[in-house]
Amino acid sequence: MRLRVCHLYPDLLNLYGDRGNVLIFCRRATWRGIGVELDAVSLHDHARFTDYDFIFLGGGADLEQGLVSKDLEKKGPLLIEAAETGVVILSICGGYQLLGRYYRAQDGTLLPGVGLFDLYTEAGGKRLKGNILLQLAPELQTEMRQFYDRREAKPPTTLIGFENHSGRTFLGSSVRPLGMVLKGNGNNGEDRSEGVCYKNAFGTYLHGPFLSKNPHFADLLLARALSRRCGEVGLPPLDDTLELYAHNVMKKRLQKGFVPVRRV
Amino acid sequence: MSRSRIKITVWVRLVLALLAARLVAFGCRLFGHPGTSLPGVVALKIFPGLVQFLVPGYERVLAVTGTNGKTTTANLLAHTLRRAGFTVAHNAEGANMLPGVATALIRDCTRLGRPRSRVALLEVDEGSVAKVFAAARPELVIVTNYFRDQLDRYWELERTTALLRSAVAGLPGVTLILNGDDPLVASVGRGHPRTCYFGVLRDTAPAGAVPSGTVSPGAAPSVAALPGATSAGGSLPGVSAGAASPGSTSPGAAPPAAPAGAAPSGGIPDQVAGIVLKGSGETREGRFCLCCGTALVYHYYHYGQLGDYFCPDCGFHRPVLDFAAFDVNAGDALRFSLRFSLSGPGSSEPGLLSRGFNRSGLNSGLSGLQPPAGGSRTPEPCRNLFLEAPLRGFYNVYNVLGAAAAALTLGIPAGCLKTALLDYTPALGRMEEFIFQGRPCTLALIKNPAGVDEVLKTILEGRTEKALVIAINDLAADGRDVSWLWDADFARLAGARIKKIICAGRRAADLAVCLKYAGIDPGRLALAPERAASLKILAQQAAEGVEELYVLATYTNLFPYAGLLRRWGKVVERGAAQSMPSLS
Repeated sequence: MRLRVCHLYPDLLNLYGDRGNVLIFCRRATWRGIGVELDAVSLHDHARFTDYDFIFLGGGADLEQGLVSKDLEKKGPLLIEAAETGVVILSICGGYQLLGRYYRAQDGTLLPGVGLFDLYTEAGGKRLKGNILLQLAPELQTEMRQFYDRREAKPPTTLIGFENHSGRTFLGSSVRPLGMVLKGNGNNGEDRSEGVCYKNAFGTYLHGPFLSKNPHFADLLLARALSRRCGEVGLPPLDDTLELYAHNVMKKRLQKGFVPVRRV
Repeated sequence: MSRSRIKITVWVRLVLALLAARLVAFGCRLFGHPGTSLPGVVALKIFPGLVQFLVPGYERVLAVTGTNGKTTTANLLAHTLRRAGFTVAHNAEGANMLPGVATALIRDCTRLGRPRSRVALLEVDEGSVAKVFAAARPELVIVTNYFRDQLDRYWELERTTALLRSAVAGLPGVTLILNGDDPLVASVGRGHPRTCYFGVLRDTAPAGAVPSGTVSPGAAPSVAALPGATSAGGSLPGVSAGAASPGSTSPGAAPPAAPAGAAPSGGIPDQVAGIVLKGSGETREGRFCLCCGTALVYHYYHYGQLGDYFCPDCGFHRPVLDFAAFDVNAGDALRFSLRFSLSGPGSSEPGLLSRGFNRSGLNSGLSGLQPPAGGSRTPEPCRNLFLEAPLRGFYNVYNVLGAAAAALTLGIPAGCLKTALLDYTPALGRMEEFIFQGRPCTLALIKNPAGVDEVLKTILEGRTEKALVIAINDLAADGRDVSWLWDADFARLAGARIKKIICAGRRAADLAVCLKYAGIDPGRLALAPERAASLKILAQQAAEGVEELYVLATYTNLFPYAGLLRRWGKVVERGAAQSMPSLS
């Protein structure tokens, strides 16, 4: 069994250790004996996105995002086609914004997006940054419990990450958020929503190595990619002690304010 | 009447500010606090124009900024200036924002605000250049490099370079000494009349420098020969087998096979060998021309984005180097040759004068300075100079180069520079060498991916067995976001010579996860968030025969670890062991 992974614009959109997510996805597959074939696709490359099982799109600085936006005029329809056929897509920060309808900068200029997600982003004044804690959307929680049913431990119902964005993203009516913010700002700092789900495509502001403290979400992506490829979900559990410990340390810190390390 | 009143208020404020600062500094000492910033904060509250007021009293105001190497470069230059007979006011403790600068100047001046030193040498945080340059108006600015660092504070590098560009634009007459190997830094010098560049020539590429992605001289380099998956550290070991992507930009520069090993946690070993994660690897900033946005093409890299580059579209390229290092040997001590041109128009190589660089003008202020060794004031052609400094790590070439370039530009005799570098002592606290449990133990600051990569390279030299404490905090001074860990190349540590890695600090768990996914056998990892506990495990390693110990710490962990190592071990006297310099 082999999964095909596509890291989209790894040379342009890799602002905050974003490549960690690709590494985590690949490792968690190979640790279970699933082969992984990894491609980098960047500006001017041609790729058939429907052939992939997992596509990752990270965040970038303004200059890079401008270059990508132009290139996505060509790749956009192919990406939408892939999303419609159930390819698992994870987009973060800048990548997330680019997959929406548009990004309106502070000066009013409009950067068109792909339109894969029914959402738009407007530049805001204050930067929204800090550690963030989400309550996962209920249907995703239910789905995750499936691969944890053979274990004693229940999967976390939360996601942990770090956000750092000035854009405010507003979701349209045809998409649902990834979760609701418990601590932090999320999509726009107003409606408590964070991220987006549409079929197997996800977007979030939780940047960088987002999957590292959320192994349950990494497995959800992996399970969906596998079930699309071979129609079955068999995910033997991994030893996630370290990952879940990291998740819980930060969760406690966010819930109770500062917790001295020695008490953990 | 109003005039004298203004003057009187200024004087009253000044004296009050200085008095308050002295009181605060005294209080800090009383409570064992270093007090490198707080006195300045208080003084600036009382007299916001304090720095502007104090700097005209100095003959020369010099500044060092950049991401990595600021402290080392500034310390080297301060030491050289002192050896040349100058008194120097210098914020040597690394408090490098406006209050830190103010504190250093207050410490240097008399009760009435008269400076005691002749030269002010300011280390300036890259985010504070606007404020500090506007206040201190330096005549000479050294810029080391720009790497991603604390992106939660600075957002992105384009913004940092833009900050510097506008800060420099407000300083007519300033001389820039720029790292020409860094396209981000070099772009700042474009169109600036008094700029000189330092850099490292190709034949000196250190072991482990990127061989692929280079082009043979003469051959027209193509975009296809670019970074992509290049360096040994660039691959993600264990992620496995390389199918060329349908339209990938980088040709199959296959990285070395992934180190085999048991799967960290799943129990299932990696079955397929070797997918290359293209485009990842060592952190490279500034892949794109800051003038036109086209991807830069490299003849060769040294590390990060430092190397010999050009833009195929607009012609931006690595500038002619005024101070070029070659034959670099970065073993136990740093040795290299420096070629510099202080020549007139007749020289074969365009030098400072040919760009309208007014050397004598710069020298004139430093009365008492001898003209450069070699004697007379007549322009001399290219000179070679062999330099040696008790520092380790290839990255320190740039620090020594920056300091040497500034010293020579200021007219310090070459011989004086040479001896000053030789007897340079790395500053205490940030880069101390200890004996801990009978073993050499080195303390180093880490704060960003490029810095980590270079420190790790240096650590991995030699064949001895090593154990490390890596302590990651996420307080404001460390950067709240620790995502940068995933941009560092920890996969290097997967080799057998690293016996134990002890994860410490407030983000110990995050680091441990990162190391696990970097392919380090979890059996070699230990989790000990507390400092004392982490050092206990390190001591145990020493007892079990591990020969070399290291403590790598982010900023807020550095001084506490230094304190503990001093208490439980002992400080190595200079000359007894190699020195591990800090990166900042």
